[in-house]
Amino acid sequence: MPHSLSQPRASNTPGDDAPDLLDTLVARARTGDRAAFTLLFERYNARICAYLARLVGDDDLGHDLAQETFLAVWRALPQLRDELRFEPWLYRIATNAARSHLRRGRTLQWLPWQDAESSEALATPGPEEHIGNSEAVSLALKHLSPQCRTCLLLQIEGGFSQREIADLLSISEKSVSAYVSRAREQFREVYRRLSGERQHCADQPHTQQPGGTAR
Amino acid sequence: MNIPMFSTATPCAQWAHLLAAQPGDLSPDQRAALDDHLATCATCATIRAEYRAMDSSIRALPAPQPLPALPPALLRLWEDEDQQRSKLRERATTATAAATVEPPLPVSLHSNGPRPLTRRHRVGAIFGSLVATLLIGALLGGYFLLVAGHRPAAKSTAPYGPVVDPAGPRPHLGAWRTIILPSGVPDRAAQLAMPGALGGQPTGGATIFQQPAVSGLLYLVAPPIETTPLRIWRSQDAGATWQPLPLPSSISALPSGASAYLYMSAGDPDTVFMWAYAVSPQRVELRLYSSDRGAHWSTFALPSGSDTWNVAAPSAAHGVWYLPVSVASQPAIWISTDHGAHWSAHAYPVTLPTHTIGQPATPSGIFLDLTYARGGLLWAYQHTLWWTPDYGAHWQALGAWGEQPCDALIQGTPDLAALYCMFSNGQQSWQSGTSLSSVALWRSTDHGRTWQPIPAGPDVTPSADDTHAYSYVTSKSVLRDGSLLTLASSRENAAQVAFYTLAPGANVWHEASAPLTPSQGYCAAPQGDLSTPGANGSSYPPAPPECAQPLDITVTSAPNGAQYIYLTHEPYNQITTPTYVAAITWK
Repeated sequence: MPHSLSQPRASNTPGDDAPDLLDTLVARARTGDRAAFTLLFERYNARICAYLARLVGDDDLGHDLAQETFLAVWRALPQLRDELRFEPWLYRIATNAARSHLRRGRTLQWLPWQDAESSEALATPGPEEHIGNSEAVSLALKHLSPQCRTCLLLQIEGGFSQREIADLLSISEKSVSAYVSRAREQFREVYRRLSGERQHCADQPHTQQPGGTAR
Repeated sequence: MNIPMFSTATPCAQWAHLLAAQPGDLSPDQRAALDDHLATCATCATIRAEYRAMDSSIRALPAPQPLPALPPALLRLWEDEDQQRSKLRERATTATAAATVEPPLPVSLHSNGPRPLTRRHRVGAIFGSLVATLLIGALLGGYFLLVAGHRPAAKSTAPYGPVVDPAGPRPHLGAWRTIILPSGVPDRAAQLAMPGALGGQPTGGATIFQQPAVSGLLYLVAPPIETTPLRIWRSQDAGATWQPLPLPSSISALPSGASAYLYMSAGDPDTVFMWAYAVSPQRVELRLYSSDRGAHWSTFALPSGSDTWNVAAPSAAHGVWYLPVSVASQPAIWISTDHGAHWSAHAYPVTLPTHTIGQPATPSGIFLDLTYARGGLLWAYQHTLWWTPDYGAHWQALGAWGEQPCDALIQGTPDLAALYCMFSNGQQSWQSGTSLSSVALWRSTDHGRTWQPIPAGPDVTPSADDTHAYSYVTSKSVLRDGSLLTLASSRENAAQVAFYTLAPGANVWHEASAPLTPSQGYCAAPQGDLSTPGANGSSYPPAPPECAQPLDITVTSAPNGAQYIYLTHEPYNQITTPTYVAAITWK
């Protein structure tokens, strides 16, 4: 019995696929299908690179970590229990890649996850760089504590709900809420300071080059 | 990016967390309460606006470049996996060989009482389009090589897949033998003695079909001749032995001279479709399927309203049948999970031209065909390669090639690390061969994402208008390392007839060692335009009596891992159409 034709649902760009295509790709990749995995890679490549670059504040390091992430994802895929949870799982692997790198390299101090309701000192050293507008945003992100930055980026960049972030990071939803709130307040404060610097620098454009001297 | 200066205000402590959340994180009650608060608290309202500006500013940060390709470490891992798999296969082959006194060649030497195998033959123009549609399905059926003794993979420099070392081993074609067919395969002499169903033109002879996913699994179909009905045999050892298979009584409806084709996909090794038809003395079509490798056959129905002029190869994968066919002038992929009792449709990812029932959609009808590969279906259309994991419910554009469209997609290796696309400028022969002078060929070594033009065939064409220089590049002629094998022949230079190979990483065709001269060898194809035979087949030119022309080559793998090439050639004005077989070795 013929049915009416369904409309084609073609997708050329990553991210606009229907969720069930994603499930199919993940299910196939789990069984070792390299073509499906390659499509998953293409779908998340840009997003994971952006997430990691902003999380560690360095594009090149973000690239290295993205490579690590996709390799780890391929290796761990057979253990993925629920295809529907692929995206949070992918971000969890990316986050862990960044955390272990930062711990290894001591580039940034990564404190253990703790109850965000407890007091945590705001470490926002005064910026000394001469900065532009998007640089101010990047720099403000950099000055957030890693936990706050992770939660904020997962919320804004990853598009995850607080419940998803909580699952992904294995912390309580309440802590996520607190980290996000604190992140936003830290961001406001740092950005305000940076913008203040910028205005100050605009008045005296040659005096605040990093490491430089006034000409 | 214009970001407002953030205020120094601090949010009310009890509302801070709700303000920082996204609307989706809040319950309806929380949202309502927050709205009430914002209506009365200007500070919190301001801060909320600042948070939204914060979101925008972070999202608007310049995006870093994505990775240019899959991580090199992952590609190395895949390469290692492939090598380990190859070693396991090699071990299995060695064990097989050690247990056997002689390698189980799938052939015996030609003895007395030869039973020559005929291949499909000329059909009138009235059949041209339909036959082309059906044939292309067979040609594009995909070729999965599950063989042992893979040669060591060379170090890869391409982003994906193994690239063959140009200095590495080359395929070597051994001596030719005439294949011995199961007893009862009709001699073409008997067929020619009959008043043919198509105005005296010889019609389809016995044909070998192979299951692309199972080494050595072959089927041989002999169409009905005189009072002998259609028959079918199966071999599980690449042709060394054959078992006759039972067929339902409904096949007696097929008149002498009817043609029959089998369709199989790598996605379901047990399912075989048979399509048999005749147009004279009346139009008869019979569609059968078997879910157990031919042990039992049943008929099945097409979707109602199917335009049988625009039907491509039916196939099955993972328990789902998929059939590209036009219904009500609209081409679609029809799907059945209950052996054709019910059908539903998925559309192609682009809007295809509608066409009148009875009129071929394109000169060759190629554009509907799908290739099963790695759990999904590939579809080449014009300049784009599409992939669907779910029979057309969703599509993803994989890659695109050059200026010319792709007519035929050739699957080089099971993991698609080698993939070819052929364009034949509308002059694709009614045979499987394609005129060299009108062919473009592209190769992809990265699962179809990027394509490079490669030489379409060995340079055997002495002049541009030598339109009957043939090259037989099909899915049936891909060697186990992904090399293309072609049999090139030239009308103007009979000496330039030989097999050539193109390795996956190479840009030069090499003549395969041991040039072929099965029995009589080849000479010039007849003059005239074979691609557009006359309406009743009468415009076929007279052929020089001494000449033979290769009809078809099929490369198949035996269970012991060896590869064989089957060659059917047709001596003009002669009675028999022998099939030959040679073993392929690597040197």
